Amino acid sequence: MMLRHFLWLVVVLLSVAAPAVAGDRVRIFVTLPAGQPITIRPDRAYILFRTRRGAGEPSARPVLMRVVPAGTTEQSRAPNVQNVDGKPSATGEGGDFYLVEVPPGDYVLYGITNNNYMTVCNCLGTVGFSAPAGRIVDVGTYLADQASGKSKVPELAAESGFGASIYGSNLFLVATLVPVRPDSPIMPGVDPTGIVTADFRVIGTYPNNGSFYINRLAPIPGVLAYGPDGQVIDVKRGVEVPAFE
Amino acid sequence: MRFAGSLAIIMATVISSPVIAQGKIDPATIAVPDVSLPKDRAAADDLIANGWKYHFFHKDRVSFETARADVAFCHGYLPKVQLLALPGYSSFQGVARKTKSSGNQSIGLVGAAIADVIGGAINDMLDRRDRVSRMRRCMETRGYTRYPMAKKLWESFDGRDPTRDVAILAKLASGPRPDLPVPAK
Repeated sequence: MMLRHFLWLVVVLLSVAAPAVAGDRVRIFVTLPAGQPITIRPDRAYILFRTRRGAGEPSARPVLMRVVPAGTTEQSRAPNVQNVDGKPSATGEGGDFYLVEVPPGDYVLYGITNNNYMTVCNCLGTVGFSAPAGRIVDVGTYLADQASGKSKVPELAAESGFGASIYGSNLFLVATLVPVRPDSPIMPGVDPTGIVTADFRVIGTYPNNGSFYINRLAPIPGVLAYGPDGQVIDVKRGVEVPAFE
Repeated sequence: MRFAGSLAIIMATVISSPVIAQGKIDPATIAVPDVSLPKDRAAADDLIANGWKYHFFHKDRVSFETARADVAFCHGYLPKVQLLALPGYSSFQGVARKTKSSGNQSIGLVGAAIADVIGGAINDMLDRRDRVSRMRRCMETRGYTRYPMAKKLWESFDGRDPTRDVAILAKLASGPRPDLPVPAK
């Protein structure tokens, strides 16, 4: 186990040191820094999520994928997947706010990581949403934790605690979203009229492209559910969502 | 809605079942190995003690064909893939079934060479854990339960003959419930 952690550390350090070897790796999704006026650019979209203080694993961040628009050639292969990194954009009573500037488009909670590689994919079921230009889309509260042990985060408890057969790494993570509620705190410094609530679409199973672990986003009441045979269910639309192959 | 439109186009490529489970197979033609508890006490204890490492899956009241599709689907997650450095490129289609490519453009040639060596070492060392974690997450969410299997037998399902692996494991999965203890951890 120690060797595994050591090797991972080397991989992570390598990724940090990589720019010296490979040139700059341009961040495509930028977490806006705290303490500065927020300017909403008309050619950019903004994804807002909160964390819950004291809940789970703060270093576990969502990996977002911008869905490649139809008609785009595979050859372009411009980066479209990235973890949300950096420090919070603001801090509130219950937790932190992250306001992430992104190219407008359709996004998917593609995976989870606590380093610069995608260590977990949400390949067995997740959600997506649209991020329109010039607007802030509020996806609610992001909760993530280690999955090997039983999570103390109530929303993640049933989707964690796999024990020794999976244990051996702090990289096996699980996550979910708690959608915005009327009493959800508003991020300080943001014009609430510019915020739209995410309209989630459920994403069916998809192949693993570069993760150690496979997992699924924990169920979201009213949005995402799973059947006893692994069916990924879009609760709002009352349909089972097919797999990508 | 634009999102719905792009999703519809992507979904148009959906294939109903993986290649390794295509075509009909008569389960009666598949010989399954003996997975019962060994009579030798020490061997039985060893089998049970190591069930968390080496196991197969079973589900009550599942048909052979459904089990075959499930096992094939989950085995689709077993091939090693190159770790995706972030930011990176990905799409929903077919990537897991591509073979691992050499080099990693996002961290350069030198970095890629080192990462490949390290990645290879990790992959080789963690074969069992990778396989167990992926199969557990995939099969258990489909309602299957683990039962202990002898290490050598477990290791024989190594992906070199995926059609054979899937057929045998599907027959075990859909057969009588094993008279074996479910691994405690």
